[in-house]
Amino acid sequence: MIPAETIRPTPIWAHSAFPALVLVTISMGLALVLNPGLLSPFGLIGWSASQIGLWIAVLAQAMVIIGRSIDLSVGAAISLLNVVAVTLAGLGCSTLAVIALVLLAGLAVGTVNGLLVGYLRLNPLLATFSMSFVLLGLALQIQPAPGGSVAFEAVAVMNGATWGCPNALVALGLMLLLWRVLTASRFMLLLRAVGSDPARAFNSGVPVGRVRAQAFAIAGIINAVAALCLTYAVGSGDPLLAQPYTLLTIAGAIIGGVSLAGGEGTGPGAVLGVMFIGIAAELALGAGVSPFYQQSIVGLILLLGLVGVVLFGNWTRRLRREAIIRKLQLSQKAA
Amino acid sequence: MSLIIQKVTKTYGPVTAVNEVSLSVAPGECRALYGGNGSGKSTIANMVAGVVAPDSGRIEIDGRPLESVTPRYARALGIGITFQELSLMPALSGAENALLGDLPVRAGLLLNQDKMRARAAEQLAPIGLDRLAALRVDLLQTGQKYLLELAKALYLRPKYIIIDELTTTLHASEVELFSRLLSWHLVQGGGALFVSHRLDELRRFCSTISVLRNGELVAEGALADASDRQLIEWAGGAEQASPVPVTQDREAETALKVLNLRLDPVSPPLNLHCGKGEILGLGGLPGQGQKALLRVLAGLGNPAGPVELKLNGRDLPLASPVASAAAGVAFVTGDRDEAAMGIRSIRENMIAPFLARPGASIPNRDALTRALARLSTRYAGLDRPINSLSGGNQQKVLVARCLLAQPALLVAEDATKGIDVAARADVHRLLREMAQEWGTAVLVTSSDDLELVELCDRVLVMEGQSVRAELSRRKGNLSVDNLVAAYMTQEQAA
Amino acid sequence: MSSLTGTDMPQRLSLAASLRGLPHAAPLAVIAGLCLAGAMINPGFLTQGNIVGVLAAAAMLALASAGQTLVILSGNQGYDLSVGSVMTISALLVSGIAGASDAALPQAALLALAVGALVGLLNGLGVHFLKLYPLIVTLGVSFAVEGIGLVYAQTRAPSLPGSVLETLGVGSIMGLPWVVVMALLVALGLTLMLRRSRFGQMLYMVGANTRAARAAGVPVARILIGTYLLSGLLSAFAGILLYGFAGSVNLSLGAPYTMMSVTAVVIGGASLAGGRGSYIGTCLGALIFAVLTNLLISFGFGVALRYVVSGLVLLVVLSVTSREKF
Repeated sequence: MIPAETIRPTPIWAHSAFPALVLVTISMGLALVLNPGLLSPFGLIGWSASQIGLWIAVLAQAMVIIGRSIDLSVGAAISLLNVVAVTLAGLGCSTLAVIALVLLAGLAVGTVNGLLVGYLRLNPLLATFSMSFVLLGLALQIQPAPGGSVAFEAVAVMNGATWGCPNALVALGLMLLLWRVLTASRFMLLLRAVGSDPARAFNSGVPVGRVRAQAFAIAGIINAVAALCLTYAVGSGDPLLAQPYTLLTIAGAIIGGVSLAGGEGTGPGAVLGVMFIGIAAELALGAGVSPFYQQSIVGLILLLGLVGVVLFGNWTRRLRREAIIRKLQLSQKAA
Repeated sequence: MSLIIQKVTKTYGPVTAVNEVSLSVAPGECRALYGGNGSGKSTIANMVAGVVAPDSGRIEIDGRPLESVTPRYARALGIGITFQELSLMPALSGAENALLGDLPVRAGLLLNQDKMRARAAEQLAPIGLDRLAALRVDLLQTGQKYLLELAKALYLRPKYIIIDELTTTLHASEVELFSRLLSWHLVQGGGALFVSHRLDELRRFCSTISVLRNGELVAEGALADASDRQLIEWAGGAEQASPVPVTQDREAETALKVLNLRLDPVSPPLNLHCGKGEILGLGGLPGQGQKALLRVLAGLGNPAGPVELKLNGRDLPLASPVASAAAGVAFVTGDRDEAAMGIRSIRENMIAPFLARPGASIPNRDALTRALARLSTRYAGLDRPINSLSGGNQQKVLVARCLLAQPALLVAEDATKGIDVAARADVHRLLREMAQEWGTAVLVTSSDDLELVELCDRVLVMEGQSVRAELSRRKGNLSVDNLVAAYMTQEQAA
Repeated sequence: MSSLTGTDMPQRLSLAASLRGLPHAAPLAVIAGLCLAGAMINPGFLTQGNIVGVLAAAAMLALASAGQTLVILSGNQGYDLSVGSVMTISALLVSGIAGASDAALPQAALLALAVGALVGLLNGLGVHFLKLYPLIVTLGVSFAVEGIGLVYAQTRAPSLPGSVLETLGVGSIMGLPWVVVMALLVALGLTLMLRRSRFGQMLYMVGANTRAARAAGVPVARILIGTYLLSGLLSAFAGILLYGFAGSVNLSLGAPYTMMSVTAVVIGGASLAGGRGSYIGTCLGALIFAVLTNLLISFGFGVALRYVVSGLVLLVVLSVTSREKF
């Protein structure tokens, strides 16, 4: 028999989030050289507040992709929840009431997606694509143009810091803690089973449709948290505010090691993935590139990142596989 | 108190996979389910597991009928199954896979990691995988995966366990582990239905046997009462009174030459040749490289290393179905998902191979009609979608398509799978006519041994991606009995 | 043998069956119903001005949906989400290079078409070689294209289209808007290509069942990449006309057309799984969309609710046509 130490479940370089970690480290280093202000207390508060919505939203996307689905309505859903929050605040709701209602609305949106994919068995790509237009229309109907405001105190909290740590980072930490709890749950294991191979999961007695629907519902709640953080970071409403999130969360999750083939990937990895995209944008700014070029540069980096990570993943998987097969064969010969 | 299968029937289109089969397994009994390729063994296993719904008949587990056809329900009634194609999720660890059916939880939601570890150790130690429990299962070796599949099925302590072709892929040492687990299950008062090709193992584990042939139960009783010869004969069946094909009797010049073909990096190189006008069959247990070989010839698969392929003296292109078609290779797939472009018309399905070739003229409607008529295909018009036809007629269209190109080499993967007897005879006749009229070399594989014997001039029995035996009509040793014996005895030797 | 054996004769059909067999019976019936409803609800609906307006809007949408039609026909969950951004950048390029001058229009148009084709080629390469979902590849590419558009727009002052382009956009010939004539020409060309050319026939095959097409010897890579390239080219063409049609250019000029083009193709009866559908169907789908929009506007529905309606229509079509096993 092979001693347990010789085959570790995942050596660090074969971890799905490894490429994202390397990318974030390198780009962060470069960004600090080009733009040292980024890590100043104010720089960090400003930057993290501008990114917090995306960081949390990618957790929802990762959850859905791990179940071998995909959510193309993230951007529209978060934008909708944003204008809902602002409208509720405008109607005189207290901040607590706004938070509760937005969480409920997020759950509702997620549940509809979950019913379409899990129980009506629509193709997730097409179902959430269609949903994105329903949600976009609703957002535009509720608030056609940017504007409005939310409670100033809450905005101050979101753009503030506790003992020197930006509150946005605190929020991210709390969400990652929640993710850790989810990871330890029975549900998450069933979801990974479904994502890994739906037909075999069904043959093993896993209720595939129900698990998928639950994943979308939980993702809906996470999206609501993202929308709330975004709303209090920005302080106002915009029906198109989070439109780029759809693409950014998918790309970020893939770069962070969440496989579109399902069953694989981690939440923290996905967050690293979107962080890399965000830092790349800062990098471009810091290098003195006109803000107008930013979107094309981010688009380019994003495409390159995608290609690189997909290829790197294939390569490490093959290496790891060959290494283990060799070890197993050696031990068998020895036996 | 037993597992009772009563007159279950299952048909797929025109083909009856299982016909009114009854059998029972009592607690403590291990019953062998024995039969050749395509005799309906796996269909029965899948029906008991709640994966496939029987058309008629009844399945009862300790007096409770299997009412709802879901694997979940069958499990709840006390059925455990190991799937031939496995039910392990590749991205999960061995422990997670084994415990998936009943996960230990805390507070109803969170996994109890301590208990998971303890139970995983308990389940995986007997199969020697406890130290690899945290590894993703797609990193395990085939034999280990099959043992894990067994541990997974036994974890829920089923009353009856269905073991579908599990031991085919196990090494001798692994069979030992398997034997211990199975005996333990039987001693505990569980029953088992053991599906296998290997006679020595059946004798070792089972007390009773049911023999299937072409979906029908042909023999049943105590295993000790029947000799190996008798069992092989029952499973293979006496040759049926089908028309004996007219075959070539001359040693034709070589059309296809395959030298040094490796289908995977570790298998020995494979050499074969096929004469002009010869129909060459590839037999053996499923998945021994028959289909992989045909796919390389059709340009749909890659060999694992340099290879020399010659068709009528010219090099055959690799890895491009378009180039292979242009070089005179016609291909009939055995994969349903790959067969017909369902919503497109019969005509389009037939002219597809000609469209990509610059300069090639596209066969006109007369040519299409004539080709279809040669197979007496039933259709309502060339412009009707091909999926408006029955499965057998769709298959005829795809075979007739090969006729249009007058190929030098025809490669057919299970060309008559799932079509009825008459349609099958039509397809066979056409293949023979092509071989005779144009000297087309025909390479076929089939999951049906009788078909190979009826159709082919020569059959190569494959095992482990290489050729192990050759039966030929000229030498007079081509028969179902010999064929079944060839791969089954190899099994015993292995 | 039965009388059916080997016949290639048209069957005799009952009246109902022949009505059902009439191509595009369903969309035509929907259009007739919508027009009837429109005439009853809105007295101004059947005036010549309104009809010409609806036809022009439908034609513009049909032109914008030409590439989308090909991509959806190619199957494999193919959607081209870069349609809108290609239209925008093509309009921006023509506006920036030619401006109000007619003389410079040909070069500008050629450049716009080349850029569109290049974007399409990138999409095709990404879809085929990276094996990523077409939706994601085209969304990513459109993100980059929008960024380039943003950069380009900063360097040029906006200008009105020249007289030729303006005539093509809003002018008429014998009472028929030029955009409608253009749409008819594109319809003729695309229909011939899809029905008669080898490329068109193989496109349908790849869409119907890519693996079967590959096994039958159809060059799948060439067809798929060609399809995305054509889509980029056609979207660029639509973008040039849109510049004339809208009379000005801005960064979100083409954006709404991405989603509207998908809706038009789907309403037009193309199979979402690929391999079935026609450009004529898309044109009828665009007409339905235009009439519906016209009606919704007369009810006082704004852009927002029209998005909601389109999304719901898509969901209904999806749940009727494409359920999955898992």
